Amino acid sequence: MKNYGSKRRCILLIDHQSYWRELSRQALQSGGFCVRTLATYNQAPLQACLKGENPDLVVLGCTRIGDEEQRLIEQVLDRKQHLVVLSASLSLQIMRSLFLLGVDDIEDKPYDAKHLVKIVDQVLASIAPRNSYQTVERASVR
Amino acid sequence: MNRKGRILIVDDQEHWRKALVEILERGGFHTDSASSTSEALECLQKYLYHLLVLDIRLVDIAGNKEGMGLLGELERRGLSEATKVIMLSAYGTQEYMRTSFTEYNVMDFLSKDDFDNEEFLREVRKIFSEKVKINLALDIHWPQASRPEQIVLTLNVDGTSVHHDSPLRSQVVVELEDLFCRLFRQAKSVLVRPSTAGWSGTGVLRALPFYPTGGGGYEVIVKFGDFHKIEEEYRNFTEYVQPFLGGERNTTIIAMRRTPHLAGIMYSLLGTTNDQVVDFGEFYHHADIFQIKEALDRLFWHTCKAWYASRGQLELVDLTADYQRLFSYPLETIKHVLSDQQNIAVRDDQKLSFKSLPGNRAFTDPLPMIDGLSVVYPTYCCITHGDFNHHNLLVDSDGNMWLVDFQGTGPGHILRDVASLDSAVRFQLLTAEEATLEERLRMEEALLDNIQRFSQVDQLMNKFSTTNRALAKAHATVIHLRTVARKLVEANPDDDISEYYIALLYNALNTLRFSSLSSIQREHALLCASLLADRLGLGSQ
Repeated sequence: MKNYGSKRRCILLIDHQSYWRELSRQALQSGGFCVRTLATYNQAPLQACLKGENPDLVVLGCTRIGDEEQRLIEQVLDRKQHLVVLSASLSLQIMRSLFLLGVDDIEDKPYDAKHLVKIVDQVLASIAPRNSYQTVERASVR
Repeated sequence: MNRKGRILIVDDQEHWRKALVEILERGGFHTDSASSTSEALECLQKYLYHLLVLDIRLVDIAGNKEGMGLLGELERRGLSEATKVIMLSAYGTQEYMRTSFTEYNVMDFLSKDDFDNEEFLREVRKIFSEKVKINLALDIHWPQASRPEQIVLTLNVDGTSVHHDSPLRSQVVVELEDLFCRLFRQAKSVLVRPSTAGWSGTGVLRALPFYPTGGGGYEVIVKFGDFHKIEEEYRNFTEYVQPFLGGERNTTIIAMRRTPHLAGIMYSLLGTTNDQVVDFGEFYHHADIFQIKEALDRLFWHTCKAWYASRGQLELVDLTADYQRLFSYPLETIKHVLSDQQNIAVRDDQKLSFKSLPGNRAFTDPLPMIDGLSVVYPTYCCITHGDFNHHNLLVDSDGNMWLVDFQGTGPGHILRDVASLDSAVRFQLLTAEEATLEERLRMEEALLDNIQRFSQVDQLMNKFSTTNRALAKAHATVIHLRTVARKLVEANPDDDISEYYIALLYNALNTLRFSSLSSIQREHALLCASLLADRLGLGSQ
């Protein structure tokens, strides 16, 4: 069950780099979100967070999409979680492969804090349960 | 089956169009191509496509991004869910890609720079199997008596009725087949049985799918029609029906799919006995009155129990506004219908007479009475189906009932559904041949004879007798429905039956619009409306 009912949407923010992690956390918190942070890609804490916090959205910040990041992205998407990726060094090919995997949105690093909040808002709005055929259809082709 | 996946290629460069057509046709697809936005929109308007292969730059000018504009136009026209899109361009940027995926839900974004024929074909096939989700090999067995060409004649699409000669007809026939291929994508074949026309230009069919692995499945109901109407029904179902479902028997939505103009909902009737489900009209004509009463009790006290249990507090309800909103008919339409009735004479002094009734008796013309009428009563509101009639109620061999067609479902007067069924029994299930207008008049007068309070409904049985069995059956059914109505509002200390008469009056007037009914059935409805107007004292207001 997703956490749709709570007043504050819960974001799980994963980023190795403490500077970006803190910047994003502050931006999202001031945007009204409840933010949990994770500094590691390790399986155990990640799975514990995904299961325990049941976040509405996962935000992954990284410098590049390497094997580790790719694995983490697949793990998050396997759990039917929604995911935004923030990365430097994004090529069109990488972006395409991420979108085809099912990532909800992708943004180039560096990014503006306000822009991050806007992206998160848009993704959450598009995944909110609505009794519309369009939402159901979009979810089904994801 | 000879159906092919249909693809439209939109590219301004001829060599790319030719190459893509060749690759895709070799791969077994039907392809058309367009070199500009206007050509593409013309094709999309005329034909059905499952997939669009779309270039970004459609005019050879630096910075041109007409393809992106076309994506927006597809979204505005509501085509984007039925027609998937692959972007294919030599001018892709991060921003175009991001916009394409996040705002327009494209299936892929390919570059012409590293284009590979085989990879492209693989990608298209993958999109057809995983995203378009269609079984083009589905074997559809349409009923002999009503082929798709006939079935679509009940439809109203984009505000236009589908007629024999309209160009829309062939297009909608293709889309109806395509819709079934989407709805039954896991089936090998499907046996379609006719059902009924739905609410305002939609259709209902029964379908029995057969699967390659396990033989026959369960029969389902397919409601189809203009996308906007089906979407409204879907919304009503999720908002007003689904939360109130419970127990072993209920209607559920298995799937909803769409084509460019149409959409279809596949309903399953959970808990039916041996899948032997008939509509209430068929059941009514074969069942005896005890079976009918039992089925009606199950309908109101079991199937719809949760709706009535969730009624609000006693409140002042503007019944005229409620029913005018439900039926949404202008008075002029009814006046026009009335003027076409050859057997009815309208006199200058706001009186009607019926040629088939002896004695040239004059009746109150109800139409001027309801013009500007506002009637407010203390009563209850709850969720109602909104269109209880013999087609929308299904009965199994044990007399259990299911509902379909939720386009009019929503909050309203608590007696809305029972009054609607009461009217359907008298004006529709009592067929033209079964009773004369004079007999009908006698029944209507007996039903209203000195009955001013719900607590007097018990007296109704003794006020009318007839040797006409069909009329006696209709009368007994209607009395039972009025006892149901009484129970639904028994907590109301007011006990005034006028609120039910108002509901019946509007239902009777609405019946005048049903062109499929015979003259005598419509005259019956008008007579009833006239007597109700008198009973309610509308002429003296």
